[in-house]
Amino acid sequence: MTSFVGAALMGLSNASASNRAIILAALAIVSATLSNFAPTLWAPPLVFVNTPLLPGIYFGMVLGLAIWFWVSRSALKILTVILSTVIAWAAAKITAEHAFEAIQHMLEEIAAPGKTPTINFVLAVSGVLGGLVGSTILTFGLSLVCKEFGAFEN
Amino acid sequence: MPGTALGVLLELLAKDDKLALHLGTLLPLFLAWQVTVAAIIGYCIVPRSGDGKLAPH
Repeated sequence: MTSFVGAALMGLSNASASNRAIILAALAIVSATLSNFAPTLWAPPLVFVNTPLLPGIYFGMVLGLAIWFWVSRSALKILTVILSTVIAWAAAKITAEHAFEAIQHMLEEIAAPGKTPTINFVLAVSGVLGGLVGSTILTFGLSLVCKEFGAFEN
Repeated sequence: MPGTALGVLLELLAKDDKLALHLGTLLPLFLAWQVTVAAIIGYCIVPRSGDGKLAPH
């Protein structure tokens, strides 16, 4: 049994680039499902600065597992990735909320008094800004642990 | 780059009848964002051997 687990871990450690992508994508499906349903079903909200942290923690665990398998077994590096993922998620959410409120505020200023204007795709624009901030922080956090990550030739 | 572009899916959070894609849920955003970013990271991450050198493929 132990040798089977060892062989499985060895196989995972030596996975090709495409297999690594598939393995992490499968884990991310679990993480995304938990991120959406866990806060409402059973998990405590774990809110910090008006932001639920669980989605960042779940996804951080997936990325931490990737670091453990393929980059380093150092606990410090794994914690760095988990922490940067949580920070990236919180920053992305706060950015998106701030952008949404700013756009709504501008709309209210230019609209006729007493009317609450709404336009389509405000959330989409806010989401892109949040995604930009989250991706940047996550890439920075990963590049601290895995120097070659930012290199496009990889 | 894909992580930025997939932020568009936040539009699905709205819940009204203005657009058909206003579903009122974040699940598609979480699924698309996390799966895409995880796959890219898995593909681009560089395996290392114990001595700190790049592992042979």
